[in-house]
Amino acid sequence: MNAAAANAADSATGFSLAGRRILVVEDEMLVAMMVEDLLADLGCHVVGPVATVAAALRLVAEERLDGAVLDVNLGSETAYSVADALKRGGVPFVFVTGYGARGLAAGHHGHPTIQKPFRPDRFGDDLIEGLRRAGGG
Amino acid sequence: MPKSQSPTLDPPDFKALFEAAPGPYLVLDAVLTIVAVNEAYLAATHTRRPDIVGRGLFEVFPDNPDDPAADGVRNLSDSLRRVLRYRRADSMAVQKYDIPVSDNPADGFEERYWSPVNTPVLDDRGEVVWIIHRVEDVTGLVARDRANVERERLAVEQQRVIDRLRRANIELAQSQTALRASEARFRAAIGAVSDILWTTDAKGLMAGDQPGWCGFTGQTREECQGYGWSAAVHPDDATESIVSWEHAVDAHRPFGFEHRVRRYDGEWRLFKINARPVLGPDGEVMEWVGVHTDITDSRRAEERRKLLLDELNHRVKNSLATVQSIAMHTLGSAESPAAFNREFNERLMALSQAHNLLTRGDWLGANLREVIGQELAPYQGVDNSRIALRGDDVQLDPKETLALGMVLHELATNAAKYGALSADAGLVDVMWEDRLEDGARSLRLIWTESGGPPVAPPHRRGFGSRLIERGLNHELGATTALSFHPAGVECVIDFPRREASA
Repeated sequence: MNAAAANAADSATGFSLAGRRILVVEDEMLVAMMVEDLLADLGCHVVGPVATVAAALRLVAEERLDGAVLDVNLGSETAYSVADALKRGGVPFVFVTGYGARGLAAGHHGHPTIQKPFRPDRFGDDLIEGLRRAGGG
Repeated sequence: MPKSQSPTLDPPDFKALFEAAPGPYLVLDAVLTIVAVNEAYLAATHTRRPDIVGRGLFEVFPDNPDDPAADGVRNLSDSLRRVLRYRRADSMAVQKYDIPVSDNPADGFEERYWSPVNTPVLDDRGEVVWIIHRVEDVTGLVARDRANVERERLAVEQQRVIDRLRRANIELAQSQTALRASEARFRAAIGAVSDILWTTDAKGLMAGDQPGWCGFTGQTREECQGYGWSAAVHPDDATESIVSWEHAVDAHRPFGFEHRVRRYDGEWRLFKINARPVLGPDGEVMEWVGVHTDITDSRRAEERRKLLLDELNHRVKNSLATVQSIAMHTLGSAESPAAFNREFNERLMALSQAHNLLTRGDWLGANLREVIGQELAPYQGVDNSRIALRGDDVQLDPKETLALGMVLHELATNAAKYGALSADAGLVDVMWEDRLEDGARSLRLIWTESGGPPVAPPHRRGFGSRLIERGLNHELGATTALSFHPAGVECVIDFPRREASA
């Protein structure tokens, strides 16, 4: 069903997730597994998932990435430094948070977010829309 | 006078005696015509004998026309009438009877008081022939009396003034006492509140003693004067503080602000400031009174409360996402709706129980033995012999507790479904040790099943395997080895410890 949603999004925006390399940064293992599955259903190649800023920064530096899904709150740390590194590398990303867009730190206000818990049937559309907005196109 | 001499003398000259008598005398006939007057009377009344003798009494001495209260004529004529009727002497009360200063009426009258006695002189038949009108000028006495009365009145008035002054003095003393008490109360109140009270002059310049401000900041009296106080305000806040203070002073409007102030010991404290002008009777600003309230702690508490709410929201949303994940993965592997229902709820309960352990420990962590024991409790044999737990007391942090709780649940349900716990003779051995190698702490846990049915590797890796093999690595950085030996499942988990074990 998610693949169908992705195809629908493809035709609407001309942006396809199939084959895209998407970094997943999420510290909760069960949530990470779910995001991984949702992305796999969309035809993405998942990079990670990783649970820490250090691991994420290593992947940002080493891997070729087409996009990223960042959980804002990583236990005792936040993903903002990863976000900054992605911006520098020109990699579009969306935040995943339970706070809503208002919960983002200053400097990231208004950045595309996907709310926890997810709406699986909307995940693909939301991700495409978020990455498109984050990428400036 | 010696009696021996008198018989030889001639009778005295009564006329001469009368005229020389020291008291003033006037003799009237029965129709009140003046018939005789002595020298003393003439002197007292500034009159001359030829001018008055032979004239009517009241023609000569009318009432003072300038004195509307003059009743001398009436009193005298009443008295004289009584003398004529009763033929007896009549004493009159002291009379005010003003005397013309001279013959010339333009000279006016002189105020006089008289004490008159009118005495009849009777003939053989007892008829009144003459009336001796003797008066004594008591003007001096009356004046003295009046002076006495006046003195007395003044004394009374003086006493009243003294009394009034004394009362005023007492009231003043009382109000001073009340003022001192009120001031003492005010000072005590200032001491009792943690707020800093300060004052400035009408132009908004700090002036005079500022014990509250100086006590808090450590500034001296001289240092804080004028705008000197701003040296104790945080450099980032000082300019804006001064600008908006001047604005309030210019507009005569109450001042509200927040800024940081350096305490005497160097610590910055956040203050809320309220100040307002003290107005005089005509509405003019006389001075300004302000209060600095330390809101550092309440602001911190507020921020902490907000942080806790954010954290709570984060955890709730994460828990919902976790449950969502469990539901999705259980749905993917469940063979039937009934199986989904059972497996989903069991996993939910495993998560919930791990939470319970954490809640009991104030979310600081949980004991590993308890985490394992809780997941295996449903499968314990009656004699407690099917499951062996061997290891030290290890305190897990919340993350480890939740992750291991879920993993142990998957191992236990798998054992109950296919492994050692599915057969009566099966055993589960869980051994762990807290290790320290090259300064790095780690925990090794080995799960070993035996005595169950022969084990065959599963055709596909399910949710449990994925959780163990990848989830633990993801969340705890664990290295895991899950082996499906024919004799029984073995799972070795190694993960670095962030927290020292208890």
